[in-house]
Formats: sequence, structure tokens, C-alpha cells
Amino acid sequence: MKNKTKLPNLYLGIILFIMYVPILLTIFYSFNESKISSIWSGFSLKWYKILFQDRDLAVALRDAGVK
Amino acid sequence: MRGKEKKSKGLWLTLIPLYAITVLFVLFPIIYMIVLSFMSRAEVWGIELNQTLINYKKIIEPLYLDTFVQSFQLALISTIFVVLVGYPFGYFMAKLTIKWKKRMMLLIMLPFWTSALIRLYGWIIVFRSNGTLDQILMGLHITEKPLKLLYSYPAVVVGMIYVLVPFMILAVYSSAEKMDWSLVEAAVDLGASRYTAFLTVTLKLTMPGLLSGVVLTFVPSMGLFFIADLLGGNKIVFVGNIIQESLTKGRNLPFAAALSVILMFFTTLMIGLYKKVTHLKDVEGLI
Repeated sequence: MKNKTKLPNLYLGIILFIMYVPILLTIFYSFNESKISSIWSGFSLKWYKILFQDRDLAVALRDAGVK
Repeated sequence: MRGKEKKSKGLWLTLIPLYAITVLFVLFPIIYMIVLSFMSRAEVWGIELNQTLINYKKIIEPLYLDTFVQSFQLALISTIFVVLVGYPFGYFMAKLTIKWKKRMMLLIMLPFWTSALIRLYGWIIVFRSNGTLDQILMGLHITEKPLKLLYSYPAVVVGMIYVLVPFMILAVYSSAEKMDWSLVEAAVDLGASRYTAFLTVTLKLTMPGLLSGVVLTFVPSMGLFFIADLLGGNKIVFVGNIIQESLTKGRNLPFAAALSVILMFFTTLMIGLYKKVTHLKDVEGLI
């Protein structure tokens, strides 16, 4: 009986994992130093620095009603 | 009797905004699109106000007919995979405890908070040569060279499945959730094997959900263009891509409108077929 409940849960887990892989990878590589995703060259927050320094983006956010 | 009449009168009044919105934002654009599809592109800018079938004649050209066939094929392949992945998911999900059902629902809805476009960029990281998938496969010595999966047909199919599977899951889940599981138990008690019980009871009772899931995946997958753009690298062209291109780069609004009209005709046909097959007045999950 235990096996019967485990297999469906395993399936749900695997599919959910696959669904989240691209999102997690996008988050992971946002901390990448290199400009090229998929080549890991060390942890860095430089893309976030560039992101928050972007004036156009700030304007866009304001226009979108976030700010 | 009088009271009932009064009640329905009041009800009609409350429905006015609904009708107004439908007419203004659904019916009017569709009429506009159909009218537009019979006009032609002006020499320099805009459209010429004449009645012509030139756009529809253009669609019959083999080049464009072929893209319709290709789009249909892709939609069919994607839908089959979405059923194979999504049906068991929705089915198993309905068997979870209430606490876990809620958690699962949240986990499925969560990705919708970001644009599908951005989520597809994640797949680019996975598929690109020397990307995550290549590194895993080469690390396990299954393949030796990068597979060059990005900008290929399978990549587009994966993207389609990824974007559309939540709709199938939710449709099947809503059907399986409502199902009376004691009927399955009864079938088993009466001597049916688990397999037969599934085929004769569960599958039949969840059929409305499954079919509405098919409509919900097949219809949009005919028109999705950004997946083929991002993961297919414009190598494979689908109807959605041509519509988008003629709207933006081609500046040929009437032709885009004509393509959309044909596409809408096919999708309406699909929903009509669905209603006929299931004998349902409502499309579960759709309406």
C-alpha cells in the first residue's frame, strides 16, 4: 500500500521540479559574473547593481504604477 | 410568479455591464478584424478602403497553407504530450489531502506571476549548446558533443508543453476533484481490475475535464508565436509568427487580419466539435 501512494507523489514531484527548473536557473544565473549564461564564472551582484542603476527602468516601473 | 418576473428583470439590468464589455471588447474587435481582412494594404502606410479577397487568395498559396499544416501538426503533437503529462498530474493531485491540494495549486499558479516569456528564457539556458542539459548529459557520459537542442523542433515542443500543461492540469483536476471515488471502489468490489475500473469509470467521468483541457491547449497552441521565436529561432514558422510578422515588420494589417480570421474559424470549429463530442453545453474550465 505504501508503494502505491509513493509513486504518484514521485510523479507530481518530478513534474513540478521540471516546471521550476527554468525559473530556478534564471534566478541562479542572475548572480553569475559572466555575461554569458550557462558559463559560471563566480558569484556577483553586478547585474543587480546595473539593474538598480538603470534610469529608464525606474521610469518604466513608475509608469507601470509600481513606484 | 410576479415576484419571479421582477427578479429576472432586475437580473437583466445587472447583466448590462457584462454585455457592454463583451460587445465593446470582444464583438467589436472581431467585427473590425473581419472587415479589415477584406481590405488591402496601402502603397505607403495604412490600409486602403476597398473590398477585396486578395488576402484570402494569398493564404491559399502553398507557402501559407503549409504553415497552417505545420501549425496544426505542432498543436497536435503538443496537445498529445500535454495530455500525457497533465492528465496523470491532475488525477494524482485530486487524490492528495486537502492541505497538499492547496499547496499544489499554489505551486502551479506561482509561475503565472511572471511572464511566460521570461520563463522561456530559462529554457534557453537549459537547451543552448553547452547549456545545463548538455553539461548534465556530457557529465554522465551519455553524449559526447553538445546536442545543439536550442532552435530545434523538440525545443519548441518542450516550450509549448511547458507553457500549456498548467491549463490541462487544472482542467483535469477540477474534473477529478468532483468525481465520486466510491464509484471506482464499487467497480473494483464488483470484480473489475484497477485498470478496467480506471478505463470504465475514472476516465469516463473525467472526460469533460480532459476534453476541455485539450481545447484549452490546442486552441492557443495554434496561435502561440513567441515560443517558436524564442526556442525555434525563427527556423520553423507557424501561423502565429506570420500574423505577428505581417503586423509588425510587414505592416500588412489586412493580411494579418485575414490569417486571424481563418485561425479563429478553425478554433471555433474545434470548440464546436468538442461540444458535439461531449454533448455539453458548457466547456468546463472555459466557461
